[in-house]
Parts: sequence; C-alpha cells; structure tokens
Amino acid sequence: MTMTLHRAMFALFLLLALSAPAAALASGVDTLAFLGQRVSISATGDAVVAETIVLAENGPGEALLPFGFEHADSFTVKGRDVALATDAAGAPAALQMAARRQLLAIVLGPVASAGDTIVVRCRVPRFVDWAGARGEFAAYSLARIFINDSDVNLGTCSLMLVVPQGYQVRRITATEPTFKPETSPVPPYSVGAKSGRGFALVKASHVRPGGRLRLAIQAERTDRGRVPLVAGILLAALYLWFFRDLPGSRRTAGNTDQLAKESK
Amino acid sequence: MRSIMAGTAVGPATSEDKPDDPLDLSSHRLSQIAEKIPTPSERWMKYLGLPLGILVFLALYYMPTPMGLTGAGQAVIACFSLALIWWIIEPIPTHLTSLTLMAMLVFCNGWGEEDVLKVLGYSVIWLNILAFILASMLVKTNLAKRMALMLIVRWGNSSGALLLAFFALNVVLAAFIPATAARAAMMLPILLVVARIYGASAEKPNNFGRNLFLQNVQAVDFGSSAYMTGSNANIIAVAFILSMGGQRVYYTDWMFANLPVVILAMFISWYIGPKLIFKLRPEHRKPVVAGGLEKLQERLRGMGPVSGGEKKAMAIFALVIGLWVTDRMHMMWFGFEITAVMAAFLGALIALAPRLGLLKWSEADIPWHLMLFSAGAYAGGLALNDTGAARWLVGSLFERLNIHPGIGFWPVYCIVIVMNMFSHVFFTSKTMRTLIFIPFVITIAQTLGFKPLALALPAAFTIDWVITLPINAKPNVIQFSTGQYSVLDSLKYGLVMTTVGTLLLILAGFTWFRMLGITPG
Repeated sequence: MTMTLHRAMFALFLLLALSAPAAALASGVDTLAFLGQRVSISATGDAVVAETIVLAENGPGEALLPFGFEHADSFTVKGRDVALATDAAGAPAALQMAARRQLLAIVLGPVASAGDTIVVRCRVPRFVDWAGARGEFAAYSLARIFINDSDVNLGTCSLMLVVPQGYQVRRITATEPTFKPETSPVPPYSVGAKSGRGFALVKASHVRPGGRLRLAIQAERTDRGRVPLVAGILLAALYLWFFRDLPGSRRTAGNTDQLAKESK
Repeated sequence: MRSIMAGTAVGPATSEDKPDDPLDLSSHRLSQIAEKIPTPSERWMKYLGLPLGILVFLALYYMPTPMGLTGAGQAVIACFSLALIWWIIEPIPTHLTSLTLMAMLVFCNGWGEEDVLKVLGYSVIWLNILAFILASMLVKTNLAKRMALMLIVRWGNSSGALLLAFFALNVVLAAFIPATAARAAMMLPILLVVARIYGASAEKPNNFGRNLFLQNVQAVDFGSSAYMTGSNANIIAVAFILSMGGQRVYYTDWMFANLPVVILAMFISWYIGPKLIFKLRPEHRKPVVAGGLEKLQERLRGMGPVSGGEKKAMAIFALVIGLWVTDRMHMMWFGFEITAVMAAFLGALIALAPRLGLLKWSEADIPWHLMLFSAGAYAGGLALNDTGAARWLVGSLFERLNIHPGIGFWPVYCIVIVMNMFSHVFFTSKTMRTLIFIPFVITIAQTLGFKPLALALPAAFTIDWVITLPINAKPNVIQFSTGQYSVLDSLKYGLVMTTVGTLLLILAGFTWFRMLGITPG
C-alpha cells in the first residue's frame, strides 16, 4: 500500500516537474512589447478587466500570459487571428493552471504578427467589498498587485485602476516601482480621467518573469460634503460681525492682550 | 537679559547697560511677540483678509478636480492658498495661520495626521532651535555686542556703508558655509544690536531695520547662488544636468557665470532698498545713541579686553563653523559626516553644559511661535509635494505656455527664467523646487533640440532666489523672528528684487553667459 502511494506521489511529482517547461514551450511568445491590465471597478464592487497586449514576436501557438484574477468569467478576445484557448472538449478555457500558476491562455494564429494589439476582456465578480474598503474621511482603499508569473518578458507593463462613475482618485498611497525623484524625475504613476471616470495608473519597463507592479489608491466620491462649505461661510460671517470694529480700531485681530486692555 | 547677565562670567557689564540702552537686548527677546499698531489700510486688509482666504479655499476646494490632479492634491492646494493669503495679509498671527493650515490638511484629508505632526521634528526645525541657542550664547556673553560695535565703528559712519558691509560679508560666508540657516543664525544677534543702535526694534520698526534685515535675507539667499556649493539644491541641479543632460558643470563654471550676477544684484538691492523701497530718513542714517559714533567707540573701549566668556563662546562657535565648513572632509576624518544640524547640536550641547558651558536653559531665547510657523509652512510645502500637486501645478503651467518645437531659444529661455524665478513664492523648499523644475527644463531643452545646459544652468541660478516671503526659506524665517518687518514688507522688497534678478539673468543670458558658451551664440 505504502509502495503504491510512493509510486503515485513520484508519478505526480514527475508530472508536475515536466508540466512547467511544457507550459513555457506551449507558449507562442516569450516576449511582449506591452502588457497592460485595466481594472474598471463598478459601484456594485464587480470589475471589468481588460488585458491588452502588444506582440513583439510572431509565434503561432498557445501563449500563456500573466493574469491573476481567480474568479474571472465571461472572457472575450479581440485581435487579429487570435482566440481563447479551449479544453479537450472544445469548450473555452481561458484560465489554465501551469506549474501552480493560473495563467491566461490565448491561441495565436499564423497571421498574428509583431505590433498586433490583442485585448482580452472578462468580468471579475465582487472585486471590491466597498463596505470593507471604506476608511476615514469616507475614503475607500483599493489596491492591486500584478505579478508576472508567466515565462514571458514584458517590454512595458502597466496597471490601471478605474474608479466608478461619481468617484475620483483621492490619493495614490503606494506603488511599485516607487517614485525616486533624485534618480528618475518622472513618477511611474499618474492619475487622470477618461469618459468621465477617474483612474490611477502605474507603469514599469522591462518586467521579467517574477517581476511585479503594485498600485494602492484611495478613492472618494466626487461630491464633497457640505461641512467645509457651511463651516467656512459661517466662520467668515461670524468674523465679519464680531470684528466689525476692526477697521476703525487700533487693535489687531489676533491680539488678545490688546483686546483685553481695550475692554478694560 | 538681566538674569542672563547674572549668569556665568561674561564680559564686564558697563554702567551704561540701562533698560533703554540700545545695546541691551534684554528688552527684546525673540520668544516674545511684539505687538504693532497697524495702519488704517492694514486694518482693512486684516478685516477682509480672513474671509478672503476662506472664500478662496472654498472656491478651490469645491471646483471640479482638474485632470491629472488627485483629490488630496486639490485639497492641499486649497488649504495652502488660504494659508498663503493669511500669511501675507496677517489677519491672525502667522504662527496661528500655520497651525490652522496643519489642522486643515488633516481635516480635509489632504495629508496624514502623522505626516503633519512629525514635521515639527524635522532637521530644519532642529537647526533653527539649535541656531537660536547658539545665538543666545553670543548675546549673553556680549560677543554679539562687541562684534556689532566693531562693525559699526569701522563701517557705521554711514548706514549705506554698513548695509554694504553686511551684504559683502554674507557673499563671502556663502563660499564657506553651505547651510543658509546657519549663516542667518550667526548674523542674527549682531544684526539685532546694529538695528537697535540705529533705532530699529520689533516694537518700533523703522526703515533702517527693514533694509538691514531684508537685505540680509537676500544676501544669505541669493548669495548662495554665487557658488555651486552654496546650497544643497544647487548640487542637486548640477547632478540633474549631468545625469539627464549629460553635461558636467564644474565649481568654477558656476562661479564665473553667476558670481558677477550676484554681485550686481547685491549692489542694485543695496542701492534701491534705502533709496526707493524703504526710504531712509536722515535720522535713521546715523546711530541713534547719544554722542554718536564717538560714544560707540567709547563703549567698545569700555568693554575692555575680550572676556573669558567671550573667548569660550568664540571657541564653541568656531568649532561649529569649523564643522560646517569642513563637511566634505568628515568622511575622511571621522568615517561619517557631521551634518549642519549635528554640528549645531554639538555646539548647543557644549553651550548648555553645566560649568563647562555658558548658558542656562532658561536663558536660551527660542522663539517657539516661529518653530510652529516654520512647521506649518513646511507641512504645506511637503503636502503639495507628496500629493503631486506641486508637480501638477508646474506641469500645467508649462503645458499652458504651449512651448512647441520650432520656437526659438530666447523666448523659451525668458519663460524658463521667469517661471523658475517667480515660482519660489509658492514653494517652501529649494530642494523640492529643484527636483520638480530642473528635470522639466532639461526635458524641454531636449524636446526642442537645445543644449540642456543652456537652459538648465541659468534655471539653476534662480534656485536660491527665495526672497519674497518668510515661508520661502529657513533664513527668511530666522530673520522674520526679529519682528523688524512685516510679511508685506518682505513681499514688496522681495518681488522688486525678484524682478531685478530675473532681468539680470535674462540680460546675462544674452551677454555674459553667451560669452562663456553657456547660452548659444
């Protein structure tokens, strides 16, 4: 019984060990000019992920790409001579396990060539738990780490978090790579808005297998509360009323000693 | 000061050290805030300044967030604008404005509470505290009085010669002491005595005091731009020119190019200050001490030989200055670098040491309100930087100018000089300004096909021109502590001299820099 178990484990180990290079060999590409992940978060917490790649080499066959969203569904692919991978039964199988890594599998046809742009889209349910992400000052903490767990070298890589309509990026709290103004004057991150939706983006060059990008932000509603408005107007009005004699008197607003003397 | 005089053995107290004696600084402790009676127009400005600041804040806070700016960056710009208006108009004391700014940064979620609070522990604040301890030592031992008297006896026959002497002294010191705050603190007690001799005090400021202190601010600040090592920001700019522009700038390149500009600016400031900006009345051109210069000479003689206390103070100060001057050798000598702060730390420790030192803690005249003012200004500046708001502001400004390929070198040169020069009004750190501006300028030069050095080096010469507001640099804060001038005084003189500096650098670009091969022929 023990011997049988040992044999089975050995066989499994052998299978796993051989499957890793097999996965790499199966890939139609080993270098991409660009890979960008755009995570558009909705107000419900679901997200739409668009992974855009620009081919650097022509290599027909299956390409295994870094992805990193476990429960993604509803995959679609757009590009010249490209399709999502299928399983043995012919059903779409965009996500594949290779050496304990969950990778995105696409199949490139012979026509696909360097410079082609391919976009894979999918839905990620419950990407954000808005209630759990809410922090002080009604700011929501959102973060995403992209790990290049494939065997593909990425020329340029970007990770974008798009906040829902009616929200904006409050601040960028952490990035990888970090901003070092003394060595590189341009920050690796930026913020902006497209089609009425705010986003934060982090970029890096030459992301090798194992390399990663990180983006952590705070998001907030664009509609700022009325407390500062009411407090500010009230304060200004009270000041103008209580210090109405200031232009005529010889005291200063901040001079309490002088005020005390004058009141005596 | 009476209690100070009663402390450790110091120079002989003369019978003339009476309460109304201009040489007696006991009535003017920097830690006490002098109250000034505002003019009618100032009273109106103060009355309207507070609501104006609030209105500007609300307008900026509630406007739609501009493209490329974070929500936090927008909040920080709104808070900083409010503070800037209040600092200039002073509806409330400047340190209260700083405290308001710090609170607003937190409450508007512009910058983290921990970040805001820890600014008070920054090395710049420590350097200020330690510098004031050292300055107190010079006052207590009468060394400041002796040095001031010596200067006045030598140069004080006319206020003009005296003002020029201080300018020259600062430009020379800049070559040896890169720490601008240290230079300002060194001069502070001497300036205070000199100002008193000319009838200027915090309670009764006059135009001599305004000229003296504001010219010293300028001398310390733009005097640093005469030398590559004049400030840390200069060195960073040179490093950028090398790393991004691929061109090396040597010490002598910098000095030959900009020292003449600095000297010319110094003379212009020295001339227009007392003649046009703060006109000196005849009674302020001479010492107000009864008996005039002869009496002061007599007072100097009356001080007798240098006392033990003065010698000790000199030794402590020499140690600190020695460490400041030799900072590049420290690695070789000690295996580590003693920074400007730690050098001042050592000096202050010795000065405060029981028996060995000269000062009791209660005798150290530290203007804490000024530390809070500084902390607020730095918090605002750092928040602008951390949220990316400063970078966004500069980037948007360059974008709006629509500098496109095909444009000639000279329009771009003028724009770069004007923008770099005047941008200092909105910054509280030269280093930050350098880190943001110089790479922009180099990128513009490269995009337009100009030699990066031709734009970046003249732009680097503007870095130390931080002369407009007390919040713009450390020396400004130190001099502002004297209460001898208002923020508006500083703004007035600063803007005039910033314009002069801009014109000089533009003119130099067309002529002197061209001869040196910096700008294209």
